Amino acid sequence: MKQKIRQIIYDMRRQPLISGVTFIATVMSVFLFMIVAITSRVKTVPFAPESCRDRLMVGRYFNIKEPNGNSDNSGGASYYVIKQLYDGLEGVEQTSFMSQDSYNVPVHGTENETFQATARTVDAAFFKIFDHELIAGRYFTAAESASDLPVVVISESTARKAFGKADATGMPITLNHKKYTVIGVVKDTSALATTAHGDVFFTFGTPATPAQSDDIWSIYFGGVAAALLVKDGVDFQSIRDQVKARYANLDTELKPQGWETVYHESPYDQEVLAMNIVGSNVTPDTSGDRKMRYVLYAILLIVPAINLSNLLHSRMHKRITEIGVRRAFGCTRSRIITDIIWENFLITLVGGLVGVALGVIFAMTYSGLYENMRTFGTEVTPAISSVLNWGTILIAVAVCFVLNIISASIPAWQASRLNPVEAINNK
Amino acid sequence: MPIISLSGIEKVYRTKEIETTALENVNLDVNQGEFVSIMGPSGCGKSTLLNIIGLLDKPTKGTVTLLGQSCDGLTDRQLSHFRNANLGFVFQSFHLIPSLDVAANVELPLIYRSGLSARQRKERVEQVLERLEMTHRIHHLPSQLSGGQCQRVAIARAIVGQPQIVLADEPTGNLDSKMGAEVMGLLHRLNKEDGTTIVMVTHNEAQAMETDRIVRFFDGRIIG
Ligand SMILES: Nc1ncnc2c1ncn2[C@@H]1O[C@H](COP(=O)(O)OP(=O)(O)OP(=O)(O)O)[C@@H](O)[C@H]1O
Ligand SMILES: [Mg+2]
Repeated sequence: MKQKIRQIIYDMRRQPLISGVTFIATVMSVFLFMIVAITSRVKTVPFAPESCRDRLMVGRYFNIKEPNGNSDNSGGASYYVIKQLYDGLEGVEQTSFMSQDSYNVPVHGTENETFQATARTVDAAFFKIFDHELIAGRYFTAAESASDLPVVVISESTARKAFGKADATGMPITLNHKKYTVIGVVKDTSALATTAHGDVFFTFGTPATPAQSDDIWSIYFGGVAAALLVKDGVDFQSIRDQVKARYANLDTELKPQGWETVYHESPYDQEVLAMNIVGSNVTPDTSGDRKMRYVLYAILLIVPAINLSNLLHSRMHKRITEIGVRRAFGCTRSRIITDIIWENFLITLVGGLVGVALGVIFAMTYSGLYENMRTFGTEVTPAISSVLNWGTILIAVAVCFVLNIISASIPAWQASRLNPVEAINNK
Repeated sequence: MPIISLSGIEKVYRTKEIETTALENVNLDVNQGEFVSIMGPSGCGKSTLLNIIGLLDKPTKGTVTLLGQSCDGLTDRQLSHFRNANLGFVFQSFHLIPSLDVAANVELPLIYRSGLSARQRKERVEQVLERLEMTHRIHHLPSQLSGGQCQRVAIARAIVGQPQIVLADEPTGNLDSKMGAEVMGLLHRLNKEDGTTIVMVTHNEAQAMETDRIVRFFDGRIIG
């Protein structure tokens, strides 16, 4: 080990250019890989307020068509539909009804300025599923959220901007030109929590039951979603199966009106929610998405590995005599291979550590990475725990390992096949 | 029983255009504790012979028997272990590993030997370096040593594993006469004190005269 480190330091002194290029190439390739891995993982790794991601499913969208295939309606679902599809499922611990997306509202408190904030309409269960940390006041009660009382929960930064202080409980606030009272203040969250992030939380209120006279569009379509906290150990597929059966129930009332439902594997788990393209009239293709990701990862590993392999090859060229001498004194072929691979792994690991550090810093500071996940131009900063965690470290070490194995095995094998005499006499 | 026994050794190098016969029907026995020098003009096959005795190269024909064991059918791994346990090499241009200091260079054969702790290895290295009076340079890199000192370190490396046979290919070839004499003194000491069998290639008649026996080569054959 000590000798390997000495060898590396010696190499750097004697072949500064090629060692430098090797090091930078390693840093760059690990950096690149980690950026891709981190931005992809941020979409699925649990972090507050979505610590429940492993047990979270979201039901949204509705799609119906005429059986003869002439016409197809799809879009956000109404409360009426969402409730029928997702309320009271077996194996679900909490069900929350909420607005399908966030939206912007103008906010005015006691400070002079009026500003825009990201708002969601949520019920009391929302705060049981998502861990928005209270710093003052309280969440809605179930009774409050079902009523039309003008109460809101806001985020800390919103409280500071509107009132110049974090504890804004009891303060009057003007939202969308209407008066509300702040009953709770929660910690700020990252906009990458695409289901739960928000600065202003309105109560869900009591939705009107659709009248018989209403048209299909207004009965079945709207902007409501359901968040489901699945019980520990319950299989997501069993939830989907129940929902599928409920689609069949909806069909019995839709068919007489000349329509039928189209089921798209809802509710979605976090992997589906993380996909860039999830439309209301398509079935999410997770396996295709996964395949794409793996191909991308493979390219990100193999291309730099070929480069590093060439660099290692020319570094080894300067050490052919040494290899011959080692063989003369009893080093076996396999030992030549493992020694070269280990030595190279140390270099890769150091380069990899720098690469990960740069990757984490970059992922934390450059919000352009999350461009396709932004909602309404809010500033996106990921939670540090979602960027730097054991998973990140594990991936980084694995990347170094794979990079090293791919790049070092051919030069190491070649070195081991050298004829000792010819190697020793190498000029 | 001879410690080295070559019978009917032939070595032919084949390249696309030409065939070179480097050794032809070489028979040679060397006894335990003997100091043999091999002489002959350039290109007559001395190094080739030494490499074959050292199990670094395989003869085209013939058998090599070392310490009573035929080395014909050994696998590469077995050959490596055999070299590690029984053979030491000294080269004309030293071939120390430039990135390693003196102690690490000398330690080399021991790291390929199982059953030695780091402390045991360190002790062995220190003992050998003390014997060769190189203790004061123990943490120097090869590039910081004179030629004579390099060859001392190389000899230390060759004997640290206490091999029965040391093979030296023109060990004084790159040294001036004073340092050459010093190195020869060391080899003789080794031969006397430890009873190590030494086979040395040299172009120096005077050095050869001091050894137990001279084997003369011409064109791949022993002529005397
Ligand atoms: N790898 C090889 N391929 C082809 N021919 C070789 C090879 N190695 C040696 N030879 C040839 O074999 C013959 C013997 O070479 P060898 O190196 O054993 O000579 P030597 O007696 O050690 O010479 P010197 O005194 O110059 O060191 C020479 O003609 C040489 O050209
Ligand atoms: Mg020679």
